[in-house]
Amino acid sequence: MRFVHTADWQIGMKAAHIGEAGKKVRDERFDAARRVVQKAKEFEAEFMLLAGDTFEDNGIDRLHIQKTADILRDFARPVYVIPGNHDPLVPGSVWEHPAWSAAGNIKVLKEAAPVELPGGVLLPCPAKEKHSSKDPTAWMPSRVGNEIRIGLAHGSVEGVQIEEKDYLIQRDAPSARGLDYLALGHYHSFATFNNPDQPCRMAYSGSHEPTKFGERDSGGILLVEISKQDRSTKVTRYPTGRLRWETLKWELPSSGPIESLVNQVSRIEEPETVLLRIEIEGVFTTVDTRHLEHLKEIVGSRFLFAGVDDSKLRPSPQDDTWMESLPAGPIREAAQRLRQFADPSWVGERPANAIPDKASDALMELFLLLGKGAK
Amino acid sequence: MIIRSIRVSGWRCLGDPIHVKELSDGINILHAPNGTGKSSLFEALVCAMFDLHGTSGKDMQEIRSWGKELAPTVEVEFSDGGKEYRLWKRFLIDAGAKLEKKEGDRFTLIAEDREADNKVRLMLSKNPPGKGLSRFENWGLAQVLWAKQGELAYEGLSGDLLDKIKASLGSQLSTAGTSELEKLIESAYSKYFTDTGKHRSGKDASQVTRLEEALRQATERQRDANDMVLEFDEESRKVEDLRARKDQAQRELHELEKTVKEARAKQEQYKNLISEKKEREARRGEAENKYQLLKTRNDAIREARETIAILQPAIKELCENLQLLERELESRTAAENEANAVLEKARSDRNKTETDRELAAKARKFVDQSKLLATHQERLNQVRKDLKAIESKKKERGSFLAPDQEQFKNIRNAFTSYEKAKASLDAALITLEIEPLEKTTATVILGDQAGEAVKIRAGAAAQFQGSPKVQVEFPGFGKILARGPASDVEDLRKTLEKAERKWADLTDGYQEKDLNSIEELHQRRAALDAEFHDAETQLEAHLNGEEQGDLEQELLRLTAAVDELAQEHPEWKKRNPAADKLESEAAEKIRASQRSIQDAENKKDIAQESRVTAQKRLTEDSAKLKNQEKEAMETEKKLADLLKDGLSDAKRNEVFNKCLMEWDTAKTKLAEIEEKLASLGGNPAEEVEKLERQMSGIEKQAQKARIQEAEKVAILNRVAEEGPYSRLTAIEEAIQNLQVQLQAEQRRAVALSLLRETVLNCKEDALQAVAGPVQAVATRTLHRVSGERLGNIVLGESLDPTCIKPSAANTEVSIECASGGEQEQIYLATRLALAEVLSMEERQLVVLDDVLLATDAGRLARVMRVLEEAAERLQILILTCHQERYMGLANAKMIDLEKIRAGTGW
Repeated sequence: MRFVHTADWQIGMKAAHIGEAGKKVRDERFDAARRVVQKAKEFEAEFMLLAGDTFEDNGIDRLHIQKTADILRDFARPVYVIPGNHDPLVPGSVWEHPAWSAAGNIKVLKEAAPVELPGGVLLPCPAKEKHSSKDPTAWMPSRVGNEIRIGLAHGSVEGVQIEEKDYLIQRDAPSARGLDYLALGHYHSFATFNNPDQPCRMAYSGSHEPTKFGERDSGGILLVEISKQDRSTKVTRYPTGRLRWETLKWELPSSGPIESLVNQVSRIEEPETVLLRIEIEGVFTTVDTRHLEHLKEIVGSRFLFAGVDDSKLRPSPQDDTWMESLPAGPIREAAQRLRQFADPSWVGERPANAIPDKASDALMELFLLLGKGAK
Repeated sequence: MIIRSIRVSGWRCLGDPIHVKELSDGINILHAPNGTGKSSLFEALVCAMFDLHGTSGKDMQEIRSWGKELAPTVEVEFSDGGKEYRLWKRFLIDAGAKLEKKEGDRFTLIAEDREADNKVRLMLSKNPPGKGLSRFENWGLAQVLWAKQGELAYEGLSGDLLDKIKASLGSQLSTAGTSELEKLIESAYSKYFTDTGKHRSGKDASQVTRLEEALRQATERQRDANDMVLEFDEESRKVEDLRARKDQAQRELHELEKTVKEARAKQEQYKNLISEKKEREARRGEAENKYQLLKTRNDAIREARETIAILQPAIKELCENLQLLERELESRTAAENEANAVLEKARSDRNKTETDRELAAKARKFVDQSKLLATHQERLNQVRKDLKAIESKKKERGSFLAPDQEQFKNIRNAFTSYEKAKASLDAALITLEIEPLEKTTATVILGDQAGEAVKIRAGAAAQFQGSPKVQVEFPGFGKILARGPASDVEDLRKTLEKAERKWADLTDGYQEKDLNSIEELHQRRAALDAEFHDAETQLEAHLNGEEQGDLEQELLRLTAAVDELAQEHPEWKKRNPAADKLESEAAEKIRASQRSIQDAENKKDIAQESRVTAQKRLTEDSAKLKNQEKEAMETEKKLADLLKDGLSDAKRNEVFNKCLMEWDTAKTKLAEIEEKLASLGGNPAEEVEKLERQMSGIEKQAQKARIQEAEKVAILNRVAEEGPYSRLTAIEEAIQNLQVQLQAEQRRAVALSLLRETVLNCKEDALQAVAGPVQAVATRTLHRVSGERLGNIVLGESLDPTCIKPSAANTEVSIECASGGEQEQIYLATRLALAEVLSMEERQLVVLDDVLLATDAGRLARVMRVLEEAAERLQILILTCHQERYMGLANAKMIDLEKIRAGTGW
């Protein structure tokens, strides 16, 4: 038996933190779905399991449903889908859309009841509400025969660090429920629950395309092969994701000058597929300021999304070279004062609004204006 | 700016032209007596520098030369910015202005009229007057440099001058680069903020404002989208609930159908049992009826037999008792008749006591009326006596004439008026008293006795009166004339005559004419009046509100009553009857009679009651006997009827027991059926009906839930078609984008604001730092002039001395607390310090028009030294009428305005 295990497509996903890049990220999830189907075809998978959260929410644009159904129909072989906690089987859910019945190969499993598979049985656990603490696999009947038993569920396995702790599943669910393989969804990263010397009988495939910064091992599918003779399993992971969500942390001056950061960012390949978050902190000099501006220009124009957080940057107390270029008098005096205000450890009297962050910004503005004046 | 010369004509007292020329660059003392035109000269200088040549109006009219139709004209030669100028202005008539600049040795016209006005004004001030003559605030630099007569003090300097001073003070701190950078800061700042520090809005709105507005709109859209997401969830939940309700209704319906089926089976069973019950009840009724009939007959036979057994001995006893009762009634009737006879006798005895009671009452009346008659007689006698006394007093008072109280008061007043008039006349007359040594005859020439010849004995005194003169002629001696003060003797005489007439009128009719006698008459009349009044009072007391006639009538009535009783009992005439004793005896007899009657009545009542009781019992027992005899007869007849069945008592009991058994059997059967019915819990028909209604209701509910579900599903689908989550997603991402932009813009705005504020603070601090020395210079000057007692001068924001900090005090003290002279010195010191600042670029003219009037000679000498030093940087023009006070100034140029006026023509 050979099938593809995928989950958490999160079609229509919200990515408010990346602003206008959100639409590109959503579109990319359809492309990733096409890649999944393509892979399944290549693997000649007998069927495909989609373990919940195909959609981000039941209230998504109805066109997304049709589009997803069209992609899955292209597989031509059975696709077994269960509703997850993001798209639970409730009135008005995405599963009421006629696209599912129109695509003959897609089986939306709405009841916790065994489904015959060629050479085995599928025990699905559809989610019928967004939040629940019950074990979705609890309903599974005990093994009677020797057939291959595959579970399909969406929930949180004990011990896994998931933000949304719903539908709790025991770590020993495969043995407790007499399953040869339990295909799971809900956790967006790939994860298995077997010792290295044991066959894998339960896994999270992870999302087919990464969903956010800091997400580990996402953007792939699992090809599951089960021997009909001894019911041994083989699980292989294949990448399907294209976007990269990368975070760069840079501390001045220990990580090197900002110029080095600029160089490093410039070397990132296929920047149009990269969502880049740069966090810079430490003390900066006026030279850094110019490079920082340059950095912002680069990332703003090349990357799918880029955010530069320089709010933790402080002007260097020793950097007074540029101040010498300021005309003597009140402005130079103001610059010196702002530099003092920008220093959080400075204990002198400061105006109420002259907190270090703001003073640092003011100093940077002065520096930039000085540059404009020079031009 | 300094001046070289000034020409003035047609200006207040300076009608004729004067020319003050060759002014020194240092100190110039322009002196002249009061009214010579020093202040007019100063005024002309001010008008030349600040006022438009076309200025007219009341203020300008006032400066015209007094009594002359001359045009006020002024010409000033001055130096400014290293260049020499000549300014000419004429006001009111043929008004005009010309500004000439010296080029080589000649002046060349560079501006005329309004242009000339403006050019000159801008040299000193940027704050021209609107209308009329210039005011202090329009003077520009001259606010500090020029002090009008007696006006050293000033309150704040105008903005343009402050700017100029600050610019002068701060010029050392600013460079071209600073200015350029400041402009850039201002430019960047002004993209976000207005001059007042508010965020730009409207068509020039800052990016922050625009983004905030966009964010606000997006947030509103987000709220709508969010509402739609919530609606979607809510509608979904409603559909879910409706489906659950529909399923529940279906389940309930299913369960109910089973219950209804069971209830219907029960209902059938119930019907059958009811039918059987009715049959059993009929059987039981028949058995019971039969049993009851037999039982009734048997009971009636037994009861009749028992009744007869009771009645027969009772009838016998009653017959015996009736004989006894008849005898009892006879004896009781006899006793009652006897009691009635005793009562009649007692009542007869009571009538005899009534005669005694009437006698006693008459005796009492006789005694009382006799006493009253005696009292009445005495009172009437007293009244008659009082009337007689009143008549006597009335007669006595009518026998003489005397004034009453009011009349006497008038008489006394008239007498007093007379005496007073007489005394006044005596006092007004001149009295000449002559006491000749020998007898003589005096002829009165003037006076009351004018024309009379009066003979006077030797040694006797003779008086002559008159007014205002008395003149008497003595033969052989001559005339003696006495004069007195003029007075109105005739009026006094008339007054006296009037008083005499009044006195005569009032005393007319009285025998006595002197006041004392009349007073005695008055007093005697008052005594008689009092006695008469006493007699009347006594009569009123005796009458006690009654008339004398009433008293006479009452006396007649009492006499008649007493006589009537005496006629009936003549012995009472001799001796009054013992009324008390008679009353006592009569009362005792009445009480005894009443007791006898009461006893007889009681006894009669008891006897009567006993007789009635005996009679009643006899009647009752007779009736009872008749009833019992009748009942016995009827019972015997009834028994005979009951026994007509011909059965023996034993046979009758056997039939009865058989009937009883049949009835018990019927009851048992019926109880079994009722038990079965009870086990069914009443008629199931109602329950069936209720269940069927319930089932119908649930069916309706299910139907309703189906309809509602269909409706909600339609709504849900409609909302779902909108893709609420996707819509919300797009909006939230747009909001995030806006927020990022806004945050960046706000951050930049805040940064620029802080940058600008810090720069401004630094500038202000820098200015403060250089303004400090001004304060220090002023203070040092003050110390030199007035000593250190006054402490430091403190300048305000407008560079005017706000207070001083005396060395002896820790706190600041108002300048008003200093003496007048010290105040002068404080302001002079401050003006000189500021003048030094303003003269940094070039020498400036300082004008002091008679300003140190309150400063003493010692301090003035020290002021001179200060001025001499200041003159190294300033041109000082002092206008004064006390040239001697400035003689100590060695290098000063003394200018005598009076001499100029006398010797110079223009």
